[in-house]
Amino acid sequence: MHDEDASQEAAEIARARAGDTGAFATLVRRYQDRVFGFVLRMTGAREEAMELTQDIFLKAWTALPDWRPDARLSTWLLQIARNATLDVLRRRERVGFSALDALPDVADPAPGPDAHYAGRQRQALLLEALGQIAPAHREILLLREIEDLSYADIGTALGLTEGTVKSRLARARLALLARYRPLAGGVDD
Amino acid sequence: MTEACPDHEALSALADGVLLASAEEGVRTHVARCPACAARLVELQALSEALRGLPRESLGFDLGARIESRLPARAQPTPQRRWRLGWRSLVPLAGAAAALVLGLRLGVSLVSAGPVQTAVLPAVQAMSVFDAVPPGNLCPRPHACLLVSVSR
Ligand SMILES: [Zn+2]
Repeated sequence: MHDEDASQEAAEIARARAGDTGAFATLVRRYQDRVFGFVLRMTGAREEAMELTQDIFLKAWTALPDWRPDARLSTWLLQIARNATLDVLRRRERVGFSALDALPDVADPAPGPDAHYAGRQRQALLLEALGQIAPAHREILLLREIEDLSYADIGTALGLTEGTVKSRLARARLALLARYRPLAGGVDD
Repeated sequence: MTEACPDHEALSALADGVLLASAEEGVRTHVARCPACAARLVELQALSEALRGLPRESLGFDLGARIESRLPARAQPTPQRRWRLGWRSLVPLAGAAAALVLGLRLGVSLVSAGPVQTAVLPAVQAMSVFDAVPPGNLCPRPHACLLVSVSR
């Protein structure tokens, strides 16, 4: 984010903290797709992710007076999103929700030009593999590769040291490769 | 090849460009001469590229407007600060109230404690709740920063 945008956002946050719901709505619009994308990739269920995204921003509103400027707002929101999502995944586990029921919400790619079809098929398989690895591995990969967070920001969001971020990311990549390699083996270019 | 192959963690960090400069040169030199490690690095880079190439999802509606319509306007910050500390500390407040009642029942004199302490105690306890939240107020665990539930 440029300095100008950052100072504009700081002003919006200050207004939202003071109770300005319109300023908060502006912040919601800015981050709603990032939060939704993260939650969707974590849970694999679109309807649930939509509802959860709404809950997350309502929670953020409640917690906003306690937010401090030394945390980037996006990192802070992703942390709230991550905690709320883990709650949902734990609840699923308690009620015996099978991992297979939570396969990522990806439409079967419609056949098209071959190269595009292969590409979409590969994406579907990657999402499937992502849905099969442990949530702790999935979340750290999403934060790194999709959200493009630094190791330091990942550490902040997940409550880990940078050293642990480094080792967990490495293990997460191995876990994803182990699932993805056999799935992707049959996809032709 | 005499030197040992770098471990997976080192290659993963190399792919992220976060290896310390002192370590990076050695690993890069090794990878340049070791086809097995070169293949491992290429696979990591391809995985990263594939993840970054996943389609971006969109919520598809204006959540800002929806949330705004559901939010009660918050009071202005200055008087609100005290109020917020007050209602967030309902639990310790209830505890303090219970202690007061218990104290009265036990016949303990509260005169020396006076009204000041009864007013201050819950706020102090509430502050200790906030102190448990680390700088940046990032939650150390789920719900740590969600001291109140959101009404729906
Ligand atoms: Zn090697």
